[in-house]
Amino acid sequence: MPTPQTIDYSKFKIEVFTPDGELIKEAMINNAHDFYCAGLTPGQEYIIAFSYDDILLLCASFVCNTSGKVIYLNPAHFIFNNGVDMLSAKAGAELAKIVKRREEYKVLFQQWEKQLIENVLATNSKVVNVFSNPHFTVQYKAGYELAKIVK
Amino acid sequence: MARLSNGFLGNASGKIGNVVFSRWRRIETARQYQPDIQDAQSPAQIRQRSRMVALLQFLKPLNKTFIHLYNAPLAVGSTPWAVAIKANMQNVSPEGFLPLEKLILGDPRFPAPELTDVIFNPFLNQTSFAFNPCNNPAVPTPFPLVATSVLGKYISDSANHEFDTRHILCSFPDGKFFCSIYGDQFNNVFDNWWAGGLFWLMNFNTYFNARFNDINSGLSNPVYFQTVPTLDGFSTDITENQVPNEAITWQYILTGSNWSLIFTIDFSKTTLTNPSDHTLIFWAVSFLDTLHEQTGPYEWDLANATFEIPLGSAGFKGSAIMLFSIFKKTGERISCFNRLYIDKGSDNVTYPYFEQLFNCNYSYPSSFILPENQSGFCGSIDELFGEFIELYEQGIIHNDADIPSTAEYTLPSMNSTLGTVNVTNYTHADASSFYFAPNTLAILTPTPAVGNVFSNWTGIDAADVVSIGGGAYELLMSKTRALTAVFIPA
Repeated sequence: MPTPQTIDYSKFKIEVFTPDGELIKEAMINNAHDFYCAGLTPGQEYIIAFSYDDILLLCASFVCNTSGKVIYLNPAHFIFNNGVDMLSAKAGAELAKIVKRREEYKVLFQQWEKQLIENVLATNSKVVNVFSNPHFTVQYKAGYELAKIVK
Repeated sequence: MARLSNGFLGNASGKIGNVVFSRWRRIETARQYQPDIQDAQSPAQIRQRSRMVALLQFLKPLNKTFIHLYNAPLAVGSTPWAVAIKANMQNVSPEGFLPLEKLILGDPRFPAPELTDVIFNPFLNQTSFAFNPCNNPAVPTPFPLVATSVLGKYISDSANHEFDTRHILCSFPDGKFFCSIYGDQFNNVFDNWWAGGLFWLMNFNTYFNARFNDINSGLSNPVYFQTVPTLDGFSTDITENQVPNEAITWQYILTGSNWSLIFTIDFSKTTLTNPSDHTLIFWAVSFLDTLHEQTGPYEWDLANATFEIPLGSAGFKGSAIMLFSIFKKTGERISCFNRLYIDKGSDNVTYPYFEQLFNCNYSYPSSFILPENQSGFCGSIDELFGEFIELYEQGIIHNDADIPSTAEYTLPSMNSTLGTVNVTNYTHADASSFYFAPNTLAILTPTPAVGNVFSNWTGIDAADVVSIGGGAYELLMSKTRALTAVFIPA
């Protein structure tokens, strides 16, 4: 029988890396549980790693081409971009040093992630391997289309 | 007017008899020749023309933005502009007036949302409101309403309509709209204060489909709103700036064990002719730790060049936005409102503007406009990881008692109709695999079906299988293994 436990929001961490896995900065989180990160260079790719208690929850490759813009990342944003890829081996190795793999903690795909994965698989069968091999870390695309079209 | 689908003796143009041939929007047309028409000057015709002119002036600023977005899917064999003219002419009054709330764009299929807390915050220069989708179709729970569209109409003394078309499509937290705000250097431009505006709502699915289909398929009717300033008496009707920000300086002073914030005015930088006849009144929003608080009004008699706010022994470890104006001592306001950001605390720490707004929940970061060489991201942990949080709190994920100490490695089940492989030393198994703790020795015993014999092992890990006698084999489970037993007829 699982024992109920309370989430500790202070254990959430949102870290920004270069594609080579070098840690650049950490996003701020306020007491409304919103997160915010500024000071990124427009047009440059970043890897955003979301973790809880050092367990990796989600990885996103982020590019914002619009100067001055703060992009609102929500489930719809990821689904709109409809992009899933494998984290580079270099970034994956660096990330592995600081976060634990979600699979080891039975962290399941959330409903919106499943929807995203279904959408991707429906349009691109080449990415099946990304999901079938537990040793790959999946990253979602953030930025891109929605950033260009929506303020 | 007739359309000539296949041309007429090729692409005809010009006049034959009383038929005129021409091209309209790449369409070959023929129409009846109309000789000179006398300019119609009857009162009804003049009124009709003035209504049309008024409508054109009203719609022109929206042509490439809102009209294009909403009307393009409706403009079959026509133009978005022509659709807008046709739809809105009926609502132009005989005097040539079209109220914003009667503007018709697109073909909304759903009821208008309900708005609350429609405010203009002069401390931030931000219009915001909360919206309730009302009877719009339910949106699947993990996918919030993200697409909103707002047309603001500025307060204007001129006869011309002045619109704010910057918010044609916005992505914000479900149920909220914030117009964009700039950094602390944009002090004196209250350009986000609209006399009124229209708000449309699109849910995510609609917006997603709109890339390929019709944006109108899930669009709500627009709702009209009017903003109310959060500060009583705030207005932009006076544009003269008698005391610019540069005329005011501030510093923290420690006297004994008590801190004070001292403001000083340099009258040489003002246009006040007799300062002692005037009062500077200011209001402030202070940001301290994770809290914000609006205080004031503070009245500064300009007979004195300084003004002191006592802060006590603790001082003030935060920042503040000040909003001020100049009043005659008779009570009449004579200068525009100005804003000033106090970015340091008595602890001499600098508190960046947007970080303070964010930490104190004074505004949502998706409305921030950063300096030009920067970009960023924001979002809600609850929105992205709601299901994870729910499962965690139920104890299903990462319950300390259940955390596996190490990883597991798998070995596929190798049974077939030609024979079976008995596997031992695993921790658990399912229909397709055996699971081992790292570096366990898996013991494999192939048992052929009647009429068959065990031949060999295949697969990328076959080379690591070691015979231990008695028909048994062992394999070190140092990683997940791929292995198949080969049985052949005897």
